[in-house]
Amino acid sequence: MENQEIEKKMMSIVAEDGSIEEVEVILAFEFKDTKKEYVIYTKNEKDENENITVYVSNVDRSSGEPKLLGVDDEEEWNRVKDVLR
Amino acid sequence: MTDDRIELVDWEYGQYAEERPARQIRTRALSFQNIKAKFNAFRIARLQNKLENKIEKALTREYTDNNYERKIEKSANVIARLEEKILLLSKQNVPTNYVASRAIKLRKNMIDNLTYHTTNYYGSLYTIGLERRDEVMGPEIIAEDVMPEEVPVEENYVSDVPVAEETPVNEDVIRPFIEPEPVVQPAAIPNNEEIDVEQSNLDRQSIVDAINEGFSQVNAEDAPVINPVDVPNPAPQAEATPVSEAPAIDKEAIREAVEEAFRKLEAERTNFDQHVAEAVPETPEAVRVSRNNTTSVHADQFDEEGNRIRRPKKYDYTPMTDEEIREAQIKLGFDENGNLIDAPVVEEKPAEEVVIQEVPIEQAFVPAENKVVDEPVREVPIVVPDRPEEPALELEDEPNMFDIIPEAEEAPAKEVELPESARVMTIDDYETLKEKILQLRKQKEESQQQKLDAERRAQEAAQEAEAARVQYEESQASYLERMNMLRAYAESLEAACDENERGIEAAERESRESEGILQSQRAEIDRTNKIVSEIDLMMEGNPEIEKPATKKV
Repeated sequence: MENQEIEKKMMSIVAEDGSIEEVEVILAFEFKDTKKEYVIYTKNEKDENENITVYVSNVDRSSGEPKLLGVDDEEEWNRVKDVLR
Repeated sequence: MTDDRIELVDWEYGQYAEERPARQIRTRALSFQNIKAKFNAFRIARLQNKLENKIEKALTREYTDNNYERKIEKSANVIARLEEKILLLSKQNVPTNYVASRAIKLRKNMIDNLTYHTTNYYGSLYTIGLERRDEVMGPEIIAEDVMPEEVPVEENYVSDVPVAEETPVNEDVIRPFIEPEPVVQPAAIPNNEEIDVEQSNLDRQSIVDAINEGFSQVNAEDAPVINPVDVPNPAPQAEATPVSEAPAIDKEAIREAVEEAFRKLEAERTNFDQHVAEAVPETPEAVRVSRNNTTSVHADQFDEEGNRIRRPKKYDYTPMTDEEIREAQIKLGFDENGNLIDAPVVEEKPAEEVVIQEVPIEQAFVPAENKVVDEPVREVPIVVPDRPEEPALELEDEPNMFDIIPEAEEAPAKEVELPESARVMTIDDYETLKEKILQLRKQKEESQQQKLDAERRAQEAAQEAEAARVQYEESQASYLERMNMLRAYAESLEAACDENERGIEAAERESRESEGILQSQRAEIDRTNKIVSEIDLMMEGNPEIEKPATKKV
């Protein structure tokens, strides 16, 4: 239990309805030019072909509490996908 | 992930509020593991860097107060925890009680290390101090010492443990001298510069206090004659009167003895300086201290009259250069990256097998009457288990690894186009592109506006739908209520009808019965009338019979 916690990087996501979900962070990075930070995480969901769904959020630390935003801009989204290739 | 556009980051993630939903990508298992491995390697590299810093800090820390054991224990725990994290992330086997047993071992090594530097490096000085004190003070003064600080060290003891930056002064040569500045730089003394040596000041201070006490007693009787003088480490002066016996003090004898002691001290220091100058001819700078050394204490200096020279409270510590640090690391058995070279792999054992240091550090400072320390007390400072070379954070760029499936579509990957910047651009291209951008921007704004309008309409429709739903529910409720009332009314009517029918049936039955009675009565009447008629006929033919008064019905 404790070893797994060390091995895995966990993060709690508080949804709009107040529910909290534990997810595993698999990558976090920042674009050097835009200084935008992104976190890639998974809920370990697999489809019938064993493909794993990963989630990408933009981390906003501008205010006191860090927030997870979506990746709305398509260009930005392509850059993120590029990083993951 | 090999591009240099990004910088991996590693936070201690807590709770994050999700303001907008994340976008999703489906990855094949191989790609997923690949991404994870890269991040893992990054985390391991970070932790190793942190571990090296912690080890460096633990080795170079100065333990100047009594809480050194607690501080050492804390450092050992931090280091052990970091090591455990690295091992776990490296997918290596880690014993269950790794942190506890490892911390105990590290703590022992660190205390041994500290003890070693205290005893070996300055052992000869403490020994000298003890000898001189025996000669000058006698056993009474020694017995009054509150804090025994002499560390018994064999006079010819030479450690076989390599220590970086040890002062290259032969202990046998130092021993005959009194001045406790074995690494003093000759030029530093006249300039009142600090000499960074490491030594406990306790033995000297106790002697100085004892002499000051003697002088204060003398001055009480003859103040102008002698001023209290701080003596760092008195020279042998067998004729000195024991200062603990105030009434028997011969002031003149003490004065002479002290002056004689200072003369000898000065002479010996001169010899010592000469020796140091010979032994360390190429030392142009202040003495540097080993990174593994612990406490730093100044040696006192005195002027020609024996008065202590006050020195500014600053340290003249010259940090080691990177080259010197590397050399010192190699001397200590570490490579340039701080990894242990040729060190035996320390096999982890359960906590109960770990043997705590047999001799606590406090006991090492007990005056042991020049006993000889037979066994070396130092071990390898920090034992870091060998681990396989970690892969560099070089992310592979295999085309097959790009298994990302764009969300909500299974379409094949788009062909890679040359970036615009790779082509030769003309002004027309620029104008075209500019126009296109403006058009697209306008289009984007319009579409955004349309999207907002659509959202607003959708919201209004939703509100209307909600209102209709409420109205429908109300009408339904009203309808149901009335239906229930009607149903109840109908039921009551039905009941009344049933009752009436039952009444009608009873009345008809009664009517039928009455009719029957009536008919039977009529038949009886007819029969009676017939009889009466027959009787009347018979009476009319016979005049003797008187006619009845009643009439026929």
